Amino acid sequence: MSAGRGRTSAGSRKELVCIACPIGCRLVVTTDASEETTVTGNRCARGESYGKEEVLAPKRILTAVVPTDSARFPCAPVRTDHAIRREKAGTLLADLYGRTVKLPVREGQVLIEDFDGARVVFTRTLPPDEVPAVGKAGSEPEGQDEVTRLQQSP
Amino acid sequence: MDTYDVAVIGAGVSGAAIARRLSRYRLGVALLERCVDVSFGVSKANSGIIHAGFHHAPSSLKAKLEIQGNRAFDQLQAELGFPFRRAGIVVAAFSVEEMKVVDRLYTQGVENGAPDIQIVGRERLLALEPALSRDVVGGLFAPSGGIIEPYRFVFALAESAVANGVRLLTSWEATRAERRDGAWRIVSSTGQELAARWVVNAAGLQADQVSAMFGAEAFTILPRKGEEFILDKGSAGPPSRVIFPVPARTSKGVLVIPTVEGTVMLGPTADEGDDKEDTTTTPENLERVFGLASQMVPRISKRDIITAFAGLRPTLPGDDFLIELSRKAPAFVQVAGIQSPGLTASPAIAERVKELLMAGGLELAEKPDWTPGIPHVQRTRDHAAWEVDRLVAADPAYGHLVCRCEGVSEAEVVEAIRKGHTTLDGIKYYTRAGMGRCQGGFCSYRIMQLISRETGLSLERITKHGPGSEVVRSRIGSRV
Amino acid sequence: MIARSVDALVVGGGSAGLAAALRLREAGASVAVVEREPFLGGILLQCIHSGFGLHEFGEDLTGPEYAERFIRPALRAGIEFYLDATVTEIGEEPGEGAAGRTVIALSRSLGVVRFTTRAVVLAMGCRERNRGNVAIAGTRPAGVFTAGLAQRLVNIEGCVPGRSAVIIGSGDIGLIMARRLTLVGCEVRAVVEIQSYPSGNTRNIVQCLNDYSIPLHLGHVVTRIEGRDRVEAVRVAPLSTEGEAMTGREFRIPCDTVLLSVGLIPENELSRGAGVPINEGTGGPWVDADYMTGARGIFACGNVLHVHDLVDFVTEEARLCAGRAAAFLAGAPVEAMLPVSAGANVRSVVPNSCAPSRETVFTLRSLVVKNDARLIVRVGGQEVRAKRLAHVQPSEMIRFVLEPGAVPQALPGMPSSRAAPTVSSMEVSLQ
Repeated sequence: MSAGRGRTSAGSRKELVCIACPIGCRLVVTTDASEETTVTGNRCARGESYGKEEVLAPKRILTAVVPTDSARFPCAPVRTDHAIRREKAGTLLADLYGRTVKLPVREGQVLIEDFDGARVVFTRTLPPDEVPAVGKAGSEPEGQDEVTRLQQSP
Repeated sequence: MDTYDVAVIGAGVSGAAIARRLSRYRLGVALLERCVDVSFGVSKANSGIIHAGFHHAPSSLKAKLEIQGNRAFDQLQAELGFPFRRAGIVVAAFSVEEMKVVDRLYTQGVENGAPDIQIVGRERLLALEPALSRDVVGGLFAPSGGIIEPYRFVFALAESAVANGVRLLTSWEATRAERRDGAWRIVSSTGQELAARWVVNAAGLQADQVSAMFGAEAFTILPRKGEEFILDKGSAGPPSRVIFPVPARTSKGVLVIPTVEGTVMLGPTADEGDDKEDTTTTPENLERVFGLASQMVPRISKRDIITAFAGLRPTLPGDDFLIELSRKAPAFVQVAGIQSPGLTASPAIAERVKELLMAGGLELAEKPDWTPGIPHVQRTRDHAAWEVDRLVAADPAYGHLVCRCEGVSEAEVVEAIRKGHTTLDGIKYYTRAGMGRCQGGFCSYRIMQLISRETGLSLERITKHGPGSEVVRSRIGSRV
Repeated sequence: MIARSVDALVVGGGSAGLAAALRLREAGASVAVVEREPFLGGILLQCIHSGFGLHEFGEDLTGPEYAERFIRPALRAGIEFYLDATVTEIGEEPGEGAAGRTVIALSRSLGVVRFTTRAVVLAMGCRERNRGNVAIAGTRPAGVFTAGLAQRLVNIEGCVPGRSAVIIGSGDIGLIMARRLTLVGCEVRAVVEIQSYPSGNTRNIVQCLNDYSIPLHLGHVVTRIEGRDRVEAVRVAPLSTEGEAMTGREFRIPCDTVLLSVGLIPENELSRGAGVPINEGTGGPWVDADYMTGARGIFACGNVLHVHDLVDFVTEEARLCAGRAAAFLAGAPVEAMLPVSAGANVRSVVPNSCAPSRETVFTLRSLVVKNDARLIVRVGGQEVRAKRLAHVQPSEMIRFVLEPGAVPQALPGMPSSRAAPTVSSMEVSLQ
């Protein structure tokens, strides 16, 4: 079971398992001399388009972590919001690893506006939003008498 | 160059005990350890048993020092605060032939002076240790036997020695020595030098190499490997006594040991070898150990295993201790072949070395201000909830659990780091963080962060047990 | 020490805990969440890859994004959060007239916190099986990690664990880490799997192994780890049909890193301490149709109950559980429940009883792979529902909804399902 790896040479045949849905049809994708691709073995249209794309221009969502300027949160997770061409991943990673992101960042904030047709966005808010402290609005710790009572040996 | 009265080579249980013993006198003492932390050799990888004094012939040095050493542990615990419990030792016999061996052990124990040692029949033995197989026919019970955390003991000995003026030099490996002007000039692998009028060779597995380095007696230390397997704290049917089988010729056999921490340890095996670095565990020995152990304690199950390790016994031909003044090299004391019962005998070994030094002419003037105790370590898990509150009020880090499986707080980890234990293993042995069910899966990165915060070391320079064992290679984004 | 009284206490602030806390707040209960990390989100925060939320939101989210969908509303919901805090003890069932069960937690900022609560929701998740559990022989050098620890070190601490790795186990976590290590510059030399088929899903095989040409050795076992201070190599041997390592055909793979992806264990030490009976098959508590354990007022959901594959199912389960906990708090009458047991080819089914008057969402796992399977629900031996499933495999949890009234009549049953199955109990099988 192997996926296509980049462009096939003209007149080739690739077998792969479709991952568009859990059924996992075994596809056969043939490419003729004029780069016409035909998909067989699929049960639906999604399988056909998956087969074609996977052989001609396989795409992937890329997720990675980018170094930050923070000691407490040394890296920030990012993603491409759409799948990009697989062979572009190395270039994007090299770009990301060369950066030092300044915190704070928010989930959804854009890091790169366009890379191979996708935006690169942060997937986590860093530093995380503060949680309301116990003792602030809506939650008072019990009074001193509780504390005194509990100081006895259990 | 620093000059000392005594340099002790090797900070295992022998060296640390000797250094502490000598720290009572007005002497300049250096304790030299080639690893990054004390106890990182044989002393961290053994069964942790305080033996009762019936395994060795009365004529042997082992027997004498074992009995003497055993007696010292209550006071040592009071002074140094390491975990120790006199759980009692039973030797289980499964046949009439084995009972004959038990009989011999009993006689030997009586002659050695093992306190309250008893020979017992089946009913009494099962009452003493209900986890035993019903197939036992009888055995031996030695109430003075016990269990300790060996590395905590060695850490405490070393701490006490240092508190009393001993200079501890870790990552200091002696490579060359020459006698000059009434003192030994010792050079380390990194080119550091010091001088010492007297040298004590307590170098464990490397005792033969150190002896040769000083032109002393030629002998060969052969490593005999012992594999041990640890079962989880919640495991089925743990015994309360240390259970021995009837001994084999060269080893005391595969034991079932309730450790003082609450886990169960099975082992050790005894495999002759020639590689002083071979601490591999093997599937064959796992099968063998579980087979033997479950014959004695039927409820033992492989399902409960959480980790395994191997230690190497530094053995000499004849298998007895070698503790004497060298006849070849001047001002040189040999402390070699310290395998079982070395841990038990260590207080007595220290005593004997002090006698040898005195007999050899070293003046021993007592220090009036020698302090036997060290501050006992506060551990969150040892305290009831309301006591923990007081700890937290003094230092909030006691309320922050870093190792959830063993209940170790940040304060304890920081204390270990500040005492010089800056490797994951060193902190593990000092605090138990990483020794529990998850074996560091949850706490490793937290401990690394604490080491980084306290020492300034960046994460990729933090090691498991010293240089070469860095945990991670690099940071993302930097050159790999 | 501070004392707090809350209606419900949720142990864990990850995907299960957050969903449960939100649901309880919706029902008007006062809720405290105790979380040992300094932030909310649990394991999701280190799962920076996508594939989460396809069911829950109809979107393909990363772990942190999925977590954020719950964290944001949770911060506005009036939930009391105790971060950097660890529950150390869940107390005994409160006696007559007592205000609630005692739960002790330890917090850096507050010291000891003593909660009095009427409902405890266990949401502690799971821990990883480690090297000791699978008894891999050899030395103990640096460079051996469980996959989750390595994931944390990479995705949160920003470290590269090593230069070349071998991964033990082809479950999803191992496969995800095969890709993650490759993307941070650590070469993955092999994934070694003892079964003859990979246990992770096909998408991961394609996108984590095939994409990077990482060899997958099926039916093989790592027999030993070599290296004194740092890993130097592993030895791998094929397994015979009897499951024995064929050491004669052992080969060596040089590497400096070993990742273990050999299973997850629900983290129930606290539960055991509270006297909650544990189903040794799942590693989690026995629970009835209310997701209540055998300890009154203690509920369980998420990975602590049984190991899930999809966080979407965790969220659903946590909501259902919290809904029942809220009903319990409101004093709802206990309904008659039918014990549910695992039938043929079912490894485990949760929950362990069913209240026939309500909808029940069952989740179950098969014992073996089967194509064209039928999920059959029988009561008293009679087939009550059946559903065709094209493909079942042990590593993919199956979700099955039994509508209210599916069982013809409410049978007088026991409130919990720990009794042995009887003729009038329900059995779910995959045949």
